[in-house]
Amino acid sequence: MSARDFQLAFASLIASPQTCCELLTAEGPFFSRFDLSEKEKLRLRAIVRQRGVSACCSLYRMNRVTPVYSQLSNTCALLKDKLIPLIEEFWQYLTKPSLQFREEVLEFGNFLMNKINVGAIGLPYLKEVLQLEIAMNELSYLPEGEYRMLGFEHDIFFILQALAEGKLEEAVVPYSAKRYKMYIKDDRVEMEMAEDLLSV
Amino acid sequence: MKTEHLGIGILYNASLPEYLRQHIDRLDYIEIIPDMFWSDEGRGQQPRFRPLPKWMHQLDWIAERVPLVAHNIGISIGTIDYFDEEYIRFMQQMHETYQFKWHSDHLSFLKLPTKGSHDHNAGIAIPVPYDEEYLTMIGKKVEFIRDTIDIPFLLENNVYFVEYPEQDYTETAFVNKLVRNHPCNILLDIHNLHVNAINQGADAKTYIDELDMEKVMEMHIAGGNDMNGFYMDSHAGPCPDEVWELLDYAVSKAPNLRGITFEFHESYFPLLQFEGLNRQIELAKNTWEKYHLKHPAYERA
Repeated sequence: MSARDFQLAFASLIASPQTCCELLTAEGPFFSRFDLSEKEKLRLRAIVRQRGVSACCSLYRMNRVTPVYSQLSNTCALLKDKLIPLIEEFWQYLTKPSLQFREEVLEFGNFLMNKINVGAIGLPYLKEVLQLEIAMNELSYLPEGEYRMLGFEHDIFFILQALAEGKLEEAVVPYSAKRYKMYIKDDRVEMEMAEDLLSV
Repeated sequence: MKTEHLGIGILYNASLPEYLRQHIDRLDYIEIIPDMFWSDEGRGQQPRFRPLPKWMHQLDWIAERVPLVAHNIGISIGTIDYFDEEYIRFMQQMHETYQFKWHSDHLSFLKLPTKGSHDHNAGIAIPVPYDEEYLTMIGKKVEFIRDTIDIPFLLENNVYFVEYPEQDYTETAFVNKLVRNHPCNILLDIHNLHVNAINQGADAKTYIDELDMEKVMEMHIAGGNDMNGFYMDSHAGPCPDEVWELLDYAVSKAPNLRGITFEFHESYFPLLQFEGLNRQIELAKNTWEKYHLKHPAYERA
């Protein structure tokens, strides 16, 4: 059990600079959570005092944010400086990640969607962009032929174009309630208009 | 079994399809990270490993043109009380289809077992302590892997940012004993040696001198960059001069080398472009041919 707990203890340090500080300032509570030999305690004390532990913590954060940042890139662009506090809150909530891209993206996407639905985040167009990117992520793991039906209140293509050009904030986004069938064909994402919901 | 003497390869990433369509004839093989080509649905799921269609199309295209080598990131051979035999058996199925020339993983632990269907991922590959307990445990896993997949299995040397006090072995002594007593070869990552030299003051040439170079079957080369006072193994574009110098030194001492693989992260493709990739391959080929063209390693092995 001891060596297994040593690995868990080391991983918990890498995942949290706060836990590193805990070990530095009050090691009793930290060690009480693991079954460790004296040699393993000595090693953990030594590790947390080496400057390299900060590089390990930074790498953990970079590797963990990568799935979200690469698969929900437009969502992240909309969130701007709200992203990191939200990511950190999410990491408090999901403490044992598999780092499988699909799970990490879906979990964060659902976490964010819940916040939007209860009004905790109120950024314009965020819900529409997020649902688009969640659907794209899901479809990328499914065989061709699968599809998702998505409804938007605004012109989603206009939003994405303005976001890519850095002009979304000053843009007047056309109201355009439409439903689309999204699917993958020949390795490309396709969106086909299903029907007009409203005639404007 | 005689393993083919391949030459120069590149580690596949999502930025490469167009480059490969135009320049695949410059490469002797492609190395893939198999974990990128499937989705792991979790233990107990049927099927557990679901191939990703878009990626599999690419893999099939490549497999028709050049030999493939596999570089895993998910065996987590250093994790105590954990061994994912289903993962190894799925790798064997992949091998049956794609006929990898060899496969490899890292001398570290990444996954930690949980009671759920997915393992906890530690987020970075953490080097194992070089202790007798770990040597025994890893040796047994190597035997299983080799019994299951009938191609050479290689383990890669670590990048490390912290050091464990009071280890039973140095890294080279640990690796040498592992490969001497078990059916295992070495993937020597030259850039990792360079990273450790900068961050830890380790002497890369001494490491090479101490290592059983006859067991080195593949080498990795890459570039890196600085972050918060550390030099990182970020695969950030072209190899620095020190890596080329170390590569030359290492290749001159590796009689059984089968391939040199250039690794770069896809986000650095705009920095490299086609010409930059061709240049890295050309430089690696120069080193390879300096030691292996006239006297192919497989003939001496």
